[in-house]
Amino acid sequence: MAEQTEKLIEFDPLQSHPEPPASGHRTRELKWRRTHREVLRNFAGQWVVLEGEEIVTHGKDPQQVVVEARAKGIRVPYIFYVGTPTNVSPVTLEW
Amino acid sequence: MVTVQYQHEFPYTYVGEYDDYFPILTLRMTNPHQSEQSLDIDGYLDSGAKRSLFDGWIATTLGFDLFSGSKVTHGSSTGFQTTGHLHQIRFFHPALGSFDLEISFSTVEISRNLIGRDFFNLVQIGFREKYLTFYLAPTP
Repeated sequence: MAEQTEKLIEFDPLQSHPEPPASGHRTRELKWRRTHREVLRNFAGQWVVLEGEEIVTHGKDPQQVVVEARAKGIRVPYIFYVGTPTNVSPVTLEW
Repeated sequence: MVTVQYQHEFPYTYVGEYDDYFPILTLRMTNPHQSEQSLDIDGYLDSGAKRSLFDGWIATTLGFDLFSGSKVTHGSSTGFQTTGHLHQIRFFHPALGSFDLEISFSTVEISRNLIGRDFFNLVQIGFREKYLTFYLAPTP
């Protein structure tokens, strides 16, 4: 059992998916997110617009961040939130 | 023996907040009445959610009057309740194509956008948690 747990901890999904599936959406950005965790930690508590491998804009107000991205020529911004690290375990809620 | 075939597989996405990987699908969301207003947004695949629930700021940014949609009350297993308003959204994903779905937008800030069973009703989704991978087929 202990050995099995160790194997699970060592599992790296990036190694399992060296190349993102071609059928995905924003695969380049999602791969960048998986491989640049340290960079993203600098944006904890903020919304980030990522285009390819470039952070276009960021900030605490998502609507303002979208406005700024569109002003920079991004027609359809890919925006996501970089959370502050927490020990809280997310649960599924029955909405 | 039951066999389900999937055409697409996706790795879970790393979420720094929880230092963990989650089944997240990035979808293009468009206001069908203002097609120039689109966003690419992450949604957590959540089979425990009866209806998809997204943060209200997204509806506003897409050009909706958040409160003009029908009001719905969402309840959780903890007893916590929150209000949402329904709006018709056009979704797009390369693996799924384009489709319309009426989803709820919250009137309070939520930490995660939830893709619920209303979405699962349109597609076939499978999970292999051990491999942090989920699978999609464009027909239910």
